[in-house]
Amino acid sequence: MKAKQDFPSINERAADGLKEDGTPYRVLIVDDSMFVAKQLSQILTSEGFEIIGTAGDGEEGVTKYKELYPKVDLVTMDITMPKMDGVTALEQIVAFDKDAKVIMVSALGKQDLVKKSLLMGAKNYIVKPLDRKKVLERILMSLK
Amino acid sequence: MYLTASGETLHLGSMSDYLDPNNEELLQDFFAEAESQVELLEANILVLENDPRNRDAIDEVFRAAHTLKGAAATVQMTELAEFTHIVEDAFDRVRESNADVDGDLIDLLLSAVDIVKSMLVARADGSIYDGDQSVVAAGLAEFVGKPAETSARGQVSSRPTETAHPSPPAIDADTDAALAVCVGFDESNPMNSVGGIQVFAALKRVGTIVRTEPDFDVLYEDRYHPEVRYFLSTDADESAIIAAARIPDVTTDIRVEAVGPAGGGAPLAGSEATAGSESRVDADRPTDTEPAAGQSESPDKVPERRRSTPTGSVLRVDSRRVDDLLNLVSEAVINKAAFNQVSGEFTDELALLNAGTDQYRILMRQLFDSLPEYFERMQRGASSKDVKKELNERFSGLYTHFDDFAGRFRQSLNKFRSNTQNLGRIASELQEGVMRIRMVPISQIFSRFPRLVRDLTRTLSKQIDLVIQGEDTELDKSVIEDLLDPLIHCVRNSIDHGLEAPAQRLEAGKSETGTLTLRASSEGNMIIIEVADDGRGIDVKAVRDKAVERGVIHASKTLSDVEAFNLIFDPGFSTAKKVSNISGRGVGLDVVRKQIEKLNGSVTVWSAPDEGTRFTIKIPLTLAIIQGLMIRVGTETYAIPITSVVESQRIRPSDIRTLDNYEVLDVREDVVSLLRLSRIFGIATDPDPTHYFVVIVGSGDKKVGLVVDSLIGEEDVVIKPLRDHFTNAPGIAGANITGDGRVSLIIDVAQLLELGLTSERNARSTTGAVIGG
Ligand SMILES: [Mg+2]
Repeated sequence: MKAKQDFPSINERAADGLKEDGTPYRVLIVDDSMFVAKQLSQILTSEGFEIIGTAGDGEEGVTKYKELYPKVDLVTMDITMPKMDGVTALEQIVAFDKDAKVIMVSALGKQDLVKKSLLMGAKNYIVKPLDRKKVLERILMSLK
Repeated sequence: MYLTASGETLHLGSMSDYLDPNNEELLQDFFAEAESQVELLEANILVLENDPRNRDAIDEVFRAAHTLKGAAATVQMTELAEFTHIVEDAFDRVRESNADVDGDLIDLLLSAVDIVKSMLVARADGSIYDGDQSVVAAGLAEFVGKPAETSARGQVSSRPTETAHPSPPAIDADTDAALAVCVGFDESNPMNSVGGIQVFAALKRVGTIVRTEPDFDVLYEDRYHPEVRYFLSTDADESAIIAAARIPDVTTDIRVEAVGPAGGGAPLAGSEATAGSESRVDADRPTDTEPAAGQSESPDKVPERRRSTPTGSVLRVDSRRVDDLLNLVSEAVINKAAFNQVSGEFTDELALLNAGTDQYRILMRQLFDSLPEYFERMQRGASSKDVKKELNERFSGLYTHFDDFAGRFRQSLNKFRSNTQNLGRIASELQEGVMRIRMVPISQIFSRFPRLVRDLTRTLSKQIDLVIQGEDTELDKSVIEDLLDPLIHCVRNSIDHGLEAPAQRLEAGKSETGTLTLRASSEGNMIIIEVADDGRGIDVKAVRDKAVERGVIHASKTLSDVEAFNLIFDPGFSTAKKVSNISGRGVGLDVVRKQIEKLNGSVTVWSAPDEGTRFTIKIPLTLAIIQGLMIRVGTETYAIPITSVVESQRIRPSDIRTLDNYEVLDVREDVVSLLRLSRIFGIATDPDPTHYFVVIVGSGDKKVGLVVDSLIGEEDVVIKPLRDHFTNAPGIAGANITGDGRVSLIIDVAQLLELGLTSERNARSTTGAVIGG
């Protein structure tokens, strides 16, 4: 089951995860699932993004964002998490930095929460299970 | 992974394969995640059993099921994803309705967890679960279908974020809309009801949305709308509006139409027909209507490769621990530089010393050469005072000739010493740090016990409170894996034999509910794990009688209670009147001892009638480092794990008795059989020494004395696994590099005990001698 996009061509184009100045976009991954966090980081690092931090719940996510500010170019935010859910974390991050770029990571069936997040300022959303192409597409769209 | 070299980027295929559902690493990560979620699921269901209103536990169960579902979908294990979805739904229901979780639901959920486990086991074996899940699924589905008990859906919610949808933000009905943006939506998008709001949020950034068609409220509902019109008041130009509204995969075509002053009035109908209205169609890039690989509801595809150890080698390490190591490594690098510097200084000082020595020799020669001249002058009448003065002037430098060198050398030496000290600290911290990477909390296995105890108490109609303490205690991952079985065995033994049925407990004047305690703590380099119950205790007499009957001990043997208790670890020993299916199973506690000894640990038991029984397991923190007693045989050095050393004695050759060709030693009132390591390992030693040392190893009733030439002392021993051709050597567990760089072998006490016991038994069967401790 190898899709074409699994084999990015060599030397044809610059990695998507790099800014125009050649430095990588820095991403903070907030997810209570190590498995999902790893999938995201695999997809992103393969395109040259830098994972600047990870957090296992919303509370930690907000703290890390504030700690790392202004070095975070993008946040991927899970919705269902312990301690503080992703929508609340999004709210707090946007309150702290209104230009924060946050992308929600949602399972199918959480439409209402995704809508709520988008209205609160989330730049986009990604659906689980993750698809490499879609993840990159939606993240890049929010960055450029 | 990518490498950048002169602006070029290389993509390495291996990493981008990660999401391939057949990727080994992906599957391994999946099983690790699934295992932890199942554990979480089970633990919180058990919490709910005792505390049906615990909202945190309800949330945890929901989340665990949710995470598991997502993970299963990622690796395309459809049966698992679908089944966990039912559990997730059921708990969503519980969360929303604020309902209590009753006993029936608990049973149902535990059965569901068991099914999930079986599904995982099947997948790990490369097959698909084919058991019956319909009853549990139907039960849970029925639960979901029940009307909410306490409050209307949506009115009371435990989820602050999922209250009724927000009121339409930033719709400004007073502003005149100048434009209508008509956006088409792709129905094949898996979340096709979100697009309307997503574009709403996007357009809000370029202008003011006056109203939408359909209404905002309708857009917010979970329904797909093929086209939505946004009435927008904005200064932005059309291309900017289209760019803002266009979302790949979500939107199809976008038109921007001019409308008259609307003020909330009806938009101009049929824009295409309206003369003068500008219309621009933006066909989006060809959309990928094919569902994404990960999202396809494809029929079950079993990974072709069979997976034998799905979760074996995944080690989760706190990143702070790795950071600590990196810090230490940089300290080590600095330390190396400091040593280099001192080395340079020593080289300079050696040169200084050499030059100084040469000068010194020259001066000494001058001194000696000049002496006759001075004698002559004194004979000729020069005053000794003048001669002395002149000598002093010429040669007093000899006194301080090396002072400069000595000062510099002392400085370098001090530096060298402090560097050495630093190196020692860094090395031991590094060692500790690397070990800590392998450390996992014992909660990883303790967490299995609530379920086990619950199921056993039900089967046996007993009432037991399980108390778990010290679950944060950490030990080596490889140790922890081998610890589960012995612990299960001890716990089963306590529940089956130790803790009484409620009626019996009342009779004995105890509370109906017994207490079983699992406790872990660390003590220096050892971890102590206790399994304690407040049951009836071990029947000393029964144990003794049985031991005599089985020939484990002689009838005339006097045993202390502790010695009698420890007889239960003897092979095949079981005090239960009949073999139950719980601790019976044909294995006794001897297996526990064997497994613990393999971990270089020890197990003992304490008991008091009607007060209870306590198993105490002691194991080293890590398998990689043990405390060893270093001994010498001939020219060879061996290490004996200190945990198995009972005592050591200096004896004369004449203290060794021979009992039927076997050498034995009287130790107080016991007789211990002796093994000469020189014979076992074929080492030439002094044939007629004045004395030997005997190291008595083993525990409880199994002891053997190892005859060695000398004792060196205790040392931390780092175990290195041996290459194949060594591992067959009997009695050797591994190798160790000693402080001076020599290799010493580590004695495998368990194997030597076997060897010793064989000879002991043979000796006993022929003479009837009482042997043991
Ligand atoms: Mg989650």
